[in-house]
Amino acid sequence: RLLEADSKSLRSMNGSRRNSGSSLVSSSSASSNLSHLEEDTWILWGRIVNEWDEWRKKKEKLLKELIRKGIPHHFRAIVWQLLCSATDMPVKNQYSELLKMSSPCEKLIRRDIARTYPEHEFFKGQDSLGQEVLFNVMKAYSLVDREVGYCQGSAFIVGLLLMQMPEEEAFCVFVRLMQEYRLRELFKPSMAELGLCIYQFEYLLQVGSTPCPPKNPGEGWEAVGRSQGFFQKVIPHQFDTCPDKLILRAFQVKYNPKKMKRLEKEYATIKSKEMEEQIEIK
Amino acid sequence: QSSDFLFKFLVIGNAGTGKSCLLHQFIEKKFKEDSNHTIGVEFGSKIINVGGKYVKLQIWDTAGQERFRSVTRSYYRGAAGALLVYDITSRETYNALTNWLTDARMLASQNIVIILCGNKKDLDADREVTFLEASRFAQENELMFLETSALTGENVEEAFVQCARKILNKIESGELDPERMGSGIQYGDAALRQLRSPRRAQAQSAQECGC
Repeated sequence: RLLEADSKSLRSMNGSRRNSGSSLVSSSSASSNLSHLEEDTWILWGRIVNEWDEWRKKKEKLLKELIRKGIPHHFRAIVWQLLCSATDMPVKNQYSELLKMSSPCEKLIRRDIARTYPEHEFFKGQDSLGQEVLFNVMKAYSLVDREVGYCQGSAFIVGLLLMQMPEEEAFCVFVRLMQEYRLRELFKPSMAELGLCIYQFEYLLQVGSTPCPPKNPGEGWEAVGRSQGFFQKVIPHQFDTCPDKLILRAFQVKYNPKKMKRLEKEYATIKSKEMEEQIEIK
Repeated sequence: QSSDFLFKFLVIGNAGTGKSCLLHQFIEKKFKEDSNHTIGVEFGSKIINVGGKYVKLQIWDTAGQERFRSVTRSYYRGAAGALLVYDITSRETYNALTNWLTDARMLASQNIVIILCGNKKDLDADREVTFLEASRFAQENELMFLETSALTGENVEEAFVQCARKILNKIESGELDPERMGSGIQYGDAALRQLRSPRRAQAQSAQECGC
C-alpha cells in the first residue's frame, strides 16, 4: 500500500522527468542550487533509509505521510526496495544465471518489447538499453514462475520499475510484487482473479451512481464496464459538464470488505455455472 | 454528426497481427508508429457513410494473448460485425483463425458478419500465407476477405465499410432485425428523431446518458 501511494506521486514526477530530458542532467544542475527545504528533505530521507527498520516499526504513520508527499527521486529506488523487502533476496544471485538460460516465452516477450512505453525516451529504439533490460527481466521472471510465464500487461509494471532502478533490483521488486503481494494472481492463465476484480469494480461503480440500468444485455454496464477505454472515455464523458462531480463520485466509492467477500462468492457461482453450460454445449 | 444506425464491431485475432493499428488507421487515417500493446480491451468509434446511410461504428479492440480470451470474450456479446485479423507473414496467426471464429460465432450474435483481414500486406517478401489459401478458408467459413495494410492504409477503410454494408443489406432484406435483443444494432440519433413513437423516444433518452 505504501508503494501504491508513492506511485501516485510518481506520476507527476515522471512527467517532469520526461520533459527535462535526462534525469541525471536535471538533478545535477538542481543540486547546486538546492533550496533549504529540499536539502532538509534529502537529509530526512537519508536518515530514514539508514534507520529503516526502526522507522518501519516505530514511525509507520509518519513514514506513510512522507511517502504520500513523494519520495525524492534519488531515494525512490532504494525506498521501493525496502518497502517490499526486496533488498536481500536469494533470487538476486540467480539473475545472471537466469539470463543465460532460454525461456519458452521468449518469442512472446520479444513481440511486446517494442510495444511497451514506445514513446518513452528510455525505451525508444530497437537497440536501446531500455528494451534490452526490459527483455531480460521479463525473461528471467518467466523462468522463476513457469505457471505465469509471460503475460501481456506485466511488462508495463516492470518498465515502470526500470525507470527507477537497475535491472537486477527491478527484477527483485517485481518478484516480490508478484509473489508476496499477489500480483501474479491477476496474470495466471485462467485470469480468474482478474475477472473477480472487474466484477467487484463494476459493483463499486454502480452503487450510488445515477446512470440508467443496462437496456440490452451486453450493451449496458456489465459489458461496457470492463474496458480500459470505458474508464478513460465513457465515464468522464458522463461528467463532461461538471468534472468536479466525477472526482466527488470517485471519493464516494465505499469499499466494504464484507460485501467484497459476498461478491467473490457470487462470482464463483456465476463462473461455475458458465463452465457447466460450456460443457453442455460441447 | 448524427447517424442512422449504431453497429457494435469487434477486432479479434492473435497478438501482434496489427489489430490496434488497423483501428488507428481507420479512425485517424495514419499509421501509429509508437503504440503500446493492448491490455484487455480498448475502443474507438467512427461514423461512416454507406450507400447514403450514416452508420456509427463502435469498435472494440481486444488483447490478442491467449489467456486474455477468458476476459475479452465477455465483450463479444451483441456484436454485429467483426474483423478477424491474421498476419500474412505468420502462419501461426493464420492457424489460430479457427479458434477465434468458434469463439465469435458462439458468443457474439448469431448473425454476426465477419470479415477476414490478412494484415501486413506491405510485407509481401516475408509472406507465409498465400492469398489463395486464405480466400479458400474464407469461402468455406462464409467470411468476407481482404488483405490489408495498416501501414499504407490499403483496404483498411474498405474492410470496415464492406462489413457494415453487408449488415445494412441484411437489415434491408429483413434477415437482421435491429430491434431484436443482442443484435448489436441500434438506431442512431438521426433515425430516432424521425421516429417519435413513445417507445423509441424512451430508447433515445436512454442513449443520451451515454451508457
